[in-house]
Amino acid sequence: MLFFLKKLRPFDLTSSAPLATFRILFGLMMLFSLIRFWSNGWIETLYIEPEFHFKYFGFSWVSDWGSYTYLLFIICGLSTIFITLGLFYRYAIAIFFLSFTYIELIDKTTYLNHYYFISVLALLLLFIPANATFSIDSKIFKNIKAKVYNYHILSIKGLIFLIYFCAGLAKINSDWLLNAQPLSIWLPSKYDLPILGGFFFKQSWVHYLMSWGGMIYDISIPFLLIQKKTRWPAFILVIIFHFLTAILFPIGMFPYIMIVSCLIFFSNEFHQKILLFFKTDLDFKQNKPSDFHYFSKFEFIAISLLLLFQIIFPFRHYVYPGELFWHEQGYRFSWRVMLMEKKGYTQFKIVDSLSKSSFYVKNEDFLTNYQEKQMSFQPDFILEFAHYLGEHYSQKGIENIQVFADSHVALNGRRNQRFIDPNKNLLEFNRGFKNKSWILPFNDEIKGF
Amino acid sequence: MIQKSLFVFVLIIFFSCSGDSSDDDSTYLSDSVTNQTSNNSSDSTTNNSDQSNTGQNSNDDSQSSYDRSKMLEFAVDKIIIPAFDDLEAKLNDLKSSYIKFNSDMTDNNLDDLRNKWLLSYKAWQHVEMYDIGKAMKDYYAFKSNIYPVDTVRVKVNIEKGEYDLNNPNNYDSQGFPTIDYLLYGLDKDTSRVINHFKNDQKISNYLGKIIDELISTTASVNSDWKSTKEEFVKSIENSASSNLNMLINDFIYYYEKRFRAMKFGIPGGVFSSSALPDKVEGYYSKIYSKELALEAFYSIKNFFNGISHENEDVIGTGVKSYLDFLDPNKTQLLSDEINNQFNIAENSINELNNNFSEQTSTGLLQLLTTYDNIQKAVVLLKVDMLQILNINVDYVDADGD
Repeated sequence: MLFFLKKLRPFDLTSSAPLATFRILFGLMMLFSLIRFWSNGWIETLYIEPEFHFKYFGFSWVSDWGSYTYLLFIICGLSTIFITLGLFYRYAIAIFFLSFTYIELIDKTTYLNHYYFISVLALLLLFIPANATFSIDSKIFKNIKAKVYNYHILSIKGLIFLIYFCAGLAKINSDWLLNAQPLSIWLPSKYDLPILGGFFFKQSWVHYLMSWGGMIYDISIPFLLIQKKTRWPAFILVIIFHFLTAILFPIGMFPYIMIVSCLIFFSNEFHQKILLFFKTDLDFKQNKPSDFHYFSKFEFIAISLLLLFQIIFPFRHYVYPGELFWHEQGYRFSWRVMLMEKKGYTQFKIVDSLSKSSFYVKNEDFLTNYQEKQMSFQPDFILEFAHYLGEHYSQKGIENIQVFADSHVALNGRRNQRFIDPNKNLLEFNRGFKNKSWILPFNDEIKGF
Repeated sequence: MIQKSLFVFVLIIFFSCSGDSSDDDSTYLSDSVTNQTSNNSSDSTTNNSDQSNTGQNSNDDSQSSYDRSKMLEFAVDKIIIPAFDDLEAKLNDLKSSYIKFNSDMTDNNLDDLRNKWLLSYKAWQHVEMYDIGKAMKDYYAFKSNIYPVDTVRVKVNIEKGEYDLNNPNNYDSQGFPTIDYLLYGLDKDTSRVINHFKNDQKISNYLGKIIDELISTTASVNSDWKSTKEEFVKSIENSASSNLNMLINDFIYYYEKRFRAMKFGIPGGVFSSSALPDKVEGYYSKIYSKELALEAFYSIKNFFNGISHENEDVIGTGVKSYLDFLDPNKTQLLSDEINNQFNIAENSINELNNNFSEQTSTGLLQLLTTYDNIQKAVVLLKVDMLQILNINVDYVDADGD
């Protein structure tokens, strides 16, 4: 392992070109994502309108800024322009990381793996001198020559490698491979697509083909991308695969972000050619190999820790007993994409434990449709909402309050099953990473990673 | 250099947009394809098991395509429009009886008027579910059936003689519940009610106005259904705004909110700390809550199973046939489970007191059991059925839950 890492010569200086194209494309993609988000009206409907937000554990202090939430998006958007231009790059990427992550932390209802990817990538870029060339910084701060080492570029490749590999590994499970779920539910519902929708997506063999194909693609594509021989065919596959997912599923910008990110795998010469097309008088040579100075050391340690975390964190679900897809403890932040068709229906009963009088809550009094939908099958949402209701109704004067959930969930084509123990007062359980004993066990078994 | 950068930026945007918009383009294509196959539809087949295969030359045996337009066409032609026609006719009868009563305020004429009100109210139960398009835009369901009635406001309106029935504040001082109040709730017995009418012509005038309003809103919603029918049945793509999805969502919404919650849950105190006996449908006439609720339940079953409004022996393509087509488990159909739960719920409703208001005090537990039986079907509809149909409800990015 160490030998392998050494062979990559992480501490050699290298061309700054790949980082420059990556930085520019990343900035533009992010800017476009934010504009798209804004123009769809989602700032309003997802962040400002809801009176209650579901918080990540430990981040309850994050809140929306009311109508100033737009300001947050403007700050974030401006930082992407600075990133693209390579002007005050480190500050710009720091502001982008903070503002973007802050937005994501406002409400976990909107959690998407690709938003998490962007946060992680932005944090990584904070420790990478992507402004070394083709940037305004390199023009105005001539004396601060940033040094690009192999490990800078390798770390981005490593992150993308991990994402694909983990996503592929997660697809090795009996639902995905042996039952072609959830694709056998999703594909037939694309009946309105031309050519493919009318006939192919109804065929069972197509569901299996796409399930197996998706798994093999995810697992193998990082290996194909790192090798020079297979790189071009692999990249064409990347384009085809992500375009197909873009047509089939409502996953927004994710496919395009992945396509663009995969360009990092191409050679220095490839990137230099692209940049020279725009500007001919560029020098990608790093100035003479110099000592590995203090700042670079700090960067290297930070990047190493970040990648180490990314290697371990997706597998934290092994700590929890029971079926991961069911209890979802360790499901997020582990590159599990498109694995589940899960629907739920959850109602809350408020009980006065002494008088025994009780009533059910109308979820829509507190939650938007989208929040209610997401809450209904995710245990941490259910617990958080139960606590919120407990507080809300205690303040309204209900004493000896208890909150029970009447919850039914269906997973990957199975019939609904009771989800939460209806006899457990959810107020007795605290939020956190402890195993959630109040989730009823899953009646079936899904084998795999 | 700036020019070149701009060029690349535009290229990227074009690149990303082309993916986003491909959904819209595709719907046009599939529309035109399905229209060709839906020409000779809806001449209701009495057996719903063989439709999905007719006219298909697919070499795949059971998985041939399902004609969604045909399903919408059956719903519109055989269920929705006949139900509206029926309601319109009954409302016109109500109007005639009103004219008779207005000129001659006798016991008999009041009886007749009350009877016509009940018949039209029952007919209403068959259209309330279709809160879509024109009905939604005109707040048809709000104007026709919000209970309890705002009696204070009704009295003020009667006294003033000037009011705007399209003002949201007046939604609960018109429609069927207000007629219920005027015909039964002004006083304890019939002769006293008649005396109120005789003593104050303004009351009768108001009654006439709200009957007219019901007639005109119903007529405009009905004529809208008839004129937009051809277009309506074409909108079958899987998007949040397609008529197919909206109609199915409306059906579930109606079952959960306006049927389960309003008719049973709210009066039974499911959502409050105690029962609310004044929140029942038909509160003033007292004895019709059950009859109205059962009527609503027939309309639910008819829509789900695709049963013609005019002739219950005519079974066409309903939600059930669509669900059965997509159901992966053909030996144990979800639709059977749903119908089974419907029957349990219906039996349970049948055993209730005619007067739900009284039921809340004499047998609340029985009312709550009934509610639970209705509720169990909500889970089947909202979780299991929606999973199989995989209907797009909202437009938000997702990566598979």
